[in-house]
Amino acid sequence: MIFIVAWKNVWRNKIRSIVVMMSVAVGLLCGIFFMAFMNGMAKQRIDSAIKSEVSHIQVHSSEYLDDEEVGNVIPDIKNIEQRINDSKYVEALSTRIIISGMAKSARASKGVKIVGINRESEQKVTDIHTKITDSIPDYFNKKYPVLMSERLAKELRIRLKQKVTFVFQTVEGGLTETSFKITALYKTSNKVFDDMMVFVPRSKIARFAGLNNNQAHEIAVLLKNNDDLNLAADELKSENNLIVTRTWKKIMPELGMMIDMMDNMLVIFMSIILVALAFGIINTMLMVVLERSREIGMLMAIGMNGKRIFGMILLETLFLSLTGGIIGIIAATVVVNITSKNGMDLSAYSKGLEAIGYDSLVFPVLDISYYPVLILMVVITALLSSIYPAAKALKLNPATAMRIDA
Amino acid sequence: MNYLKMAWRNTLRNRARSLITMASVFLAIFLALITRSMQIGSYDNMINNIVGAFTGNIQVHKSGYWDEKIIDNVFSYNDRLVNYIKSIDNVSAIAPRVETFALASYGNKTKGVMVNGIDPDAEDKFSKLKSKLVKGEYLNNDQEGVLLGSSLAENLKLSVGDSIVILGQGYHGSSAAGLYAVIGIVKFPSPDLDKRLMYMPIKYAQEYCSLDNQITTLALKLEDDKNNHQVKEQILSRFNNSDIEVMDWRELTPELAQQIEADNGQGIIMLAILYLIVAFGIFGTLIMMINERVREFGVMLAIGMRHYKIVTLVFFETLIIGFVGVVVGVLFSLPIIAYFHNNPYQYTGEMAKIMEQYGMEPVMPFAFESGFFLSQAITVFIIIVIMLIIPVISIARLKTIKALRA
Repeated sequence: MIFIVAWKNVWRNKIRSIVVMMSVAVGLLCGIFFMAFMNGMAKQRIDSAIKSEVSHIQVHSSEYLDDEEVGNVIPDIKNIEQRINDSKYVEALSTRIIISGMAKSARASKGVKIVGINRESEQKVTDIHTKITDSIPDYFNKKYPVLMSERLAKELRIRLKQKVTFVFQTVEGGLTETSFKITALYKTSNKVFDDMMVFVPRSKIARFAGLNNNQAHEIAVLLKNNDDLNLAADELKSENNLIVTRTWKKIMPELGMMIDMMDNMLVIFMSIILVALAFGIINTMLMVVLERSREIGMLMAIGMNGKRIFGMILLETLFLSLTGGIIGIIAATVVVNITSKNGMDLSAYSKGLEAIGYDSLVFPVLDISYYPVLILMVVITALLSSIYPAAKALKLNPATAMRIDA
Repeated sequence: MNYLKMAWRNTLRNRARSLITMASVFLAIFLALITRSMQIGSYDNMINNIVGAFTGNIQVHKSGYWDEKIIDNVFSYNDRLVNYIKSIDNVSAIAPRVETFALASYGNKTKGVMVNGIDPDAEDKFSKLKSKLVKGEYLNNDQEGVLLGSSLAENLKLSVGDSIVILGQGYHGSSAAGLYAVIGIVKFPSPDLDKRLMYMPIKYAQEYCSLDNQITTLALKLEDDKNNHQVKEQILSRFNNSDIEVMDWRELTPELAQQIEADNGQGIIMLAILYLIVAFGIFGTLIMMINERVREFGVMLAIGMRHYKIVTLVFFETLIIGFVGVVVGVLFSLPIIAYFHNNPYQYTGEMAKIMEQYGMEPVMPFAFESGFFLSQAITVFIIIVIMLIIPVISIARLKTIKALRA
């Protein structure tokens, strides 16, 4: 009964109720959409970092992390590979030799990281093979092939099929110079990556560097699901404390922190929005009580008790806010869904976003688990905003309230 | 007639409502001021730390150097140039540099390093290099010796007094090599720089690269970054465009500029959403107020008050509400902003570490700019004016007889 009365009361002053509902709806729509947008942007940044650069988990020898020295290898790599492959969380792994050295052409020289990979396993872990812009057929199956970025090739003033000389240190400590032929060029959105990374077959570079088949510097592990990150990291952790297993959150703390903060940020931002909305709701309900003093006095006089009066005002507030809230949430869901299908193209506004590793096409996403939280937040806001107006209604004295002329 | 007095009394008529509306304006202003001064302050900190410490506000290179950082792209560093640039207002420090990549060897260790040929005094004035010295002595123009980053020294397993061999490329394809005594160790907060940087007096760097009096980079520090466009123009106007390129920090560190821009955009959008909600709140209040007072307005019209005078009155009432909200908001935020402006917030834990890695002090000073308070007040004023449009139209349309009967 009281439910119906409250619902009908909401619609007695349509314009006013609609203004409040609209403000709640628009506030939530903007807030949710903006959060979904930020969330989508951050997720994409992380996905692309995982896919192209760091993978989910990396294994190194602890010495290597302090000093990227060619001798600081992970010993007995086959055993470790085996153990990682046996884990149920692991999708694929790639074992790499990474040597800092210098790339030299006739015209210029640059510091680079020479990454020795096995093409088949690398393809399963990172997407660098999809970034190839120009290549000769079967590019990795040549005698001394190297995959290098367009940027670096341009800086060295060399082209496809030309030779580049790498100077680097071998395990014995001497410097060695070897020539590789550029068989493919790539381009990613990350300039720093492009400037540094050149890829060569692992077996070839191992020989020059004096490493054997059972030695490498890095194992990059791709998991089936990012949600298992911590479980997998625990499982893969080695008892041998010379070997360090790090998750991407450890490797890129700024991104790890960003994504961890995202959830908090959503709650904080939505709380601010709801507090701002609460002012409007309180004002309206206060107005409702004031306007209906006579009516409320009458209801009291004919025996409606304080609890019910309080309940009625509370329900009215709840209906008012929830209607707006639900409209807002539905509208936000629709907008998020539409934009997440096609993506929002930001390239017109910020051409440089890519320089910091963000895609200029953003796909907003919001996890389904946020919606109950949002509805709960709206309900709490409504309840809190109803207290003052309802208390004011309770304070009315039936005898004087009924005499108010309005 | 004294509108202001009447408007003030009218706002006091429904104190609760006026107070709540003021509170919503207060909340928006308060949050806006705090968050904006936090953001702008942290950008200033970033710019000062990264730009001010090493990159400089502006750099001059031979045109094409930035795309192709090779030692062939050098320009002549002569008194004419120095005197001209020093004569430009706003330039507070200049630092000439020869930057090139090389391999550095000690014992059986070899590392890639960034060789920086510097003018020791100018560089200290520019980036306070001397203060980063942890061991040994600072460079001296007449002493052939180098400074190394502390991690680099550790990785090469050498210390002050040892000699280091560097090997790289010199001017016009000549090969460059030299043996230098390590006279000091410097420590950079950024591990990346600490592993790679090496300094030597510019004279010896030029000798090493077979250069005459040429440099790759001239870094300029300005008193106020706001003038960077003007200074750029001044330098360009004097020199031939095809000989040199003049770049500001936005071009030199696009990641930083972009990050600031993106973060700034975020902050502005969040505030826009907050203001939107406050606008709705004000709108709701106005609608209610006008509905409630239709009869009162009718009486006023009946006794001869003009429509525009009622509109003016309502305008002043709204303005008072907005003004009180703004003033209280400013008064509350001012001490907080002033406090954190003088005692910057210190980051701790993970965040502090991340900031140090990026070469920033882990602090967040709040910005304190008067223009900023004004712009928020203007925003509120504009919102009020826009929100008044519909209420004003409805007042203008009031028919005396109808209004009297409402």
